[in-house]
Amino acid sequence: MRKIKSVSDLEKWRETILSKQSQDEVIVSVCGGTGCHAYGCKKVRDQFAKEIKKNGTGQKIRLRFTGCRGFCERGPIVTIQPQSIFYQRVQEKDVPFILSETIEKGGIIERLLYEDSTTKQKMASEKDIPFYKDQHRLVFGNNGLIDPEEIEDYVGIGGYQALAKALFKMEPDQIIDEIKASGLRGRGGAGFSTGKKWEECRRAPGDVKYVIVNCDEGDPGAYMDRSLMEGNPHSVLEGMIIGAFAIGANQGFIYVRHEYPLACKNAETAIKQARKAGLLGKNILGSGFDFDVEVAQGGGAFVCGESTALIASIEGRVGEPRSKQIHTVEQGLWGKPTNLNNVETWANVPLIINRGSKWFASIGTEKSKGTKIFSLVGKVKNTGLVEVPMGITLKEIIFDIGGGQQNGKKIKAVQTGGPSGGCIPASLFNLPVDFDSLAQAGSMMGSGGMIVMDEGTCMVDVAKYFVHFLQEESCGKCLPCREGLKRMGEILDSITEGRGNQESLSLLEELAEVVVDTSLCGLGKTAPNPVLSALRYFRSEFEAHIHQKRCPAGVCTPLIQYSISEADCTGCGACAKVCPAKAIEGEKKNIHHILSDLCSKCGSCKDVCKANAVMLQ
Amino acid sequence: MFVILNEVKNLMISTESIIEILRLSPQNDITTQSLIGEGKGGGESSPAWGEEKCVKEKKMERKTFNITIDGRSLDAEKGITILQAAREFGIHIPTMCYMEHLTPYGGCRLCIVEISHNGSKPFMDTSCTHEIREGLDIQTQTPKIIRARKMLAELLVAGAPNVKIAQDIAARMGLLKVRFPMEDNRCVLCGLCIRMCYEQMDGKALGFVGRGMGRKISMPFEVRPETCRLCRGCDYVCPGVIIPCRGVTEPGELCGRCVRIEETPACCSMTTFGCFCEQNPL
Repeated sequence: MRKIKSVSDLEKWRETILSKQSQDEVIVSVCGGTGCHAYGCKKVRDQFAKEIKKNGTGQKIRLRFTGCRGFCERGPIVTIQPQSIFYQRVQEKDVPFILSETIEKGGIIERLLYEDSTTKQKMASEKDIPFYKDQHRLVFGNNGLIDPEEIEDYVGIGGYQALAKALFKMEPDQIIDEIKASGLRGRGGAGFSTGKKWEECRRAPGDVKYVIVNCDEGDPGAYMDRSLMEGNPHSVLEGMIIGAFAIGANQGFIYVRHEYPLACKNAETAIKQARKAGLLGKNILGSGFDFDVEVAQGGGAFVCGESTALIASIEGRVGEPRSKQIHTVEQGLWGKPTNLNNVETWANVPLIINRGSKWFASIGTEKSKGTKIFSLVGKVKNTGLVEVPMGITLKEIIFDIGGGQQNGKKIKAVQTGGPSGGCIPASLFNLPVDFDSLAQAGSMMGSGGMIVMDEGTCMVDVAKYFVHFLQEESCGKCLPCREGLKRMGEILDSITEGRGNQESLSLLEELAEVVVDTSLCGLGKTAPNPVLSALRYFRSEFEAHIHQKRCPAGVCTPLIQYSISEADCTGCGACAKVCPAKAIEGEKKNIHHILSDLCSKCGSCKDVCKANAVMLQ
Repeated sequence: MFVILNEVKNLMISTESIIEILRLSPQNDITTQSLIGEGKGGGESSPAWGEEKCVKEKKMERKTFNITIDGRSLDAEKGITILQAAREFGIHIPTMCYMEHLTPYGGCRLCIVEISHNGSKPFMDTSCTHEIREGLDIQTQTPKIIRARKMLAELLVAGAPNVKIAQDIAARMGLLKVRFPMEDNRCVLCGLCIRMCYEQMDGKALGFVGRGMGRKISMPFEVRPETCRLCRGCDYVCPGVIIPCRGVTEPGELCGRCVRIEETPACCSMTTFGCFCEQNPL
């Protein structure tokens, strides 16, 4: 690869790539996202490579290992272009069939197609599948079209055009005005105006400035930043170079937690390739602008997603936040003005530069523009990453895209924003999803986690889980977060164990409010949100635990009791076989009994009983 | 108290030395004062003779900011924090992890105040870390702050009932009952020893280890490094080594006798000389 020294060079390079790609007759894309990796997509890819090499089907086949396609529930996903056939749950053994049936003969393998669970209709194309139909995949859509380890793929789909436009046709102030006019708000959670942040950083005095990508995503159940970094690192890099040019920075950092090895690797590869192509380094595209990027790996502390803690971590100190009277845009990394944005925010920048702020501002609501990627997980049929325009209702996301309830249990609530967010009850599912209305409902957008909960989820238990998570992840610097969360955890423990009383509930509420008011950083200030929102919408569940000593969802083990109904028991003995505690006794074909002293309340007997004779009290 | 101080200040405004004395006057926080009183000497050395003139010139052009604390309009020196300004004018804000001449840490959060700037919506921040600006309106005693401080004191004393400063703060907040199960920690994680070692003694022998509930203060790899000269500066500033007036209490007990004036009429409540309640047992 030779160095690109001007815009015309970039254009020529793109033309060569496109002409080279047009020679491929068939493109087989295997999804290499996190979810598909867990399903064993690597084996599928290796099998494809082996079979193609062995058979040489006559046609020119290109095998592409892409980033995450979003529909993680149905992995491993394989698509075949140009027919755009979408195969799901592909196993190693299916590979020869796909090659012989679909690629050679052009037929479709019915059993690998997506089947709609209600209409039982088979769908061959991605566009028809309800999961994809209602999405608006601006940022995330390219993941399926490119190999993240190939810069040529990215240039081929129009990559680095926005950079050329920004460097040669726009002034830094013009770029900032464009971003401001687009109404882009930080996707990391707080939703601060990106343009305003850039402007403040540009105006901050000092010659040395830095830009940072925050890829320290740590919310339980959220993985969109990871998937974007793994699947399309060049879009983040391009946004970053444009931002650095607008702000006047010459050095950037990509902060990735080391638990994301593929994201680290792909970011490193992307930087190396961009450097080699002359898109990073000295005199980028002959514009006279110098900029370089380094990957900084984090140790995996949740608190390092907070801006000042992240900066401390890059500097080599312990990741602890500091007082933010002086913002990081004025004094950040090594005391220099620093602009920190989330992965998704940076990935939106090339889109805005390419297609204009007016186009971007036409998507979304009045105060929240553009699209947002959510990781839809929990008790829904179609889990995965979804990108939707702002202002779409929760109902549409959960029922139309997510496919609704999973196993007959009614959906009760959705938890948005991870440990900093709150639970929104089903009665508010008509709420438009944007920064302001979620905050009004006592939750927050956060980085985009969306955990769906049904009747089998105990809200007290959920609140307890998040408080314990944050208690572990708190840095321990300030008293309210360190001691307050510990005490909140103790109170919630006592409630779920049936030792709670009305006083502990009011103490919990009072303590939660004080932790919000007095904590040092965003982690502590938002930590009680899951508890406060659960108390706001599901107070009756807390009261049932306290007054009636019962868990309505049947989750909190000290408050539940399993028994076998004598009328329904058929004496099949299935329950006694699975019981890990050997707590079920009874002769075959006679009524069985549960010995409550031995019972560990795991619920295996209830799951296995065909006669529905195991009762939960 | 405040009026007198302000008058003195106005009278002596031309005399730089008096202002210096006022600024360094003993604080009305019992423990901070008693700890700082002697420790001050090392940090504040008088400038060499040749430098005196230039120091004076600098002081002549000293800029002040007009701020409002609890409704009183005050002119405070540029570059100081809200806590310093409040103490300069005799307004009490409780602290635990703060000590003059050490970098403010903002960990105990007891010194929170409500701040509003040019009529903006008030927000809470620690006064020890917040530098003053022109037009700040600061409230130190709103019901919200008092409630928050009381809860913080409760959290503090529940974790370390045998630390005098925790008992003192709880007493002064009027705390009569602790609703959390009591523990018996000695270290309150204020980080004073670390800052003392690092900033004043140049020892760099101490640091925080672990995070969250596992956080503790330790030497590198729990071995005393060569940089530690056994100066015992850490011991000197540690609030955890001072036990409550009546000695080690049973976990669960609050001392607080010095503030229950009607019960102990002869007790010297809230003076700067410490608590003598042990002489007047209940």
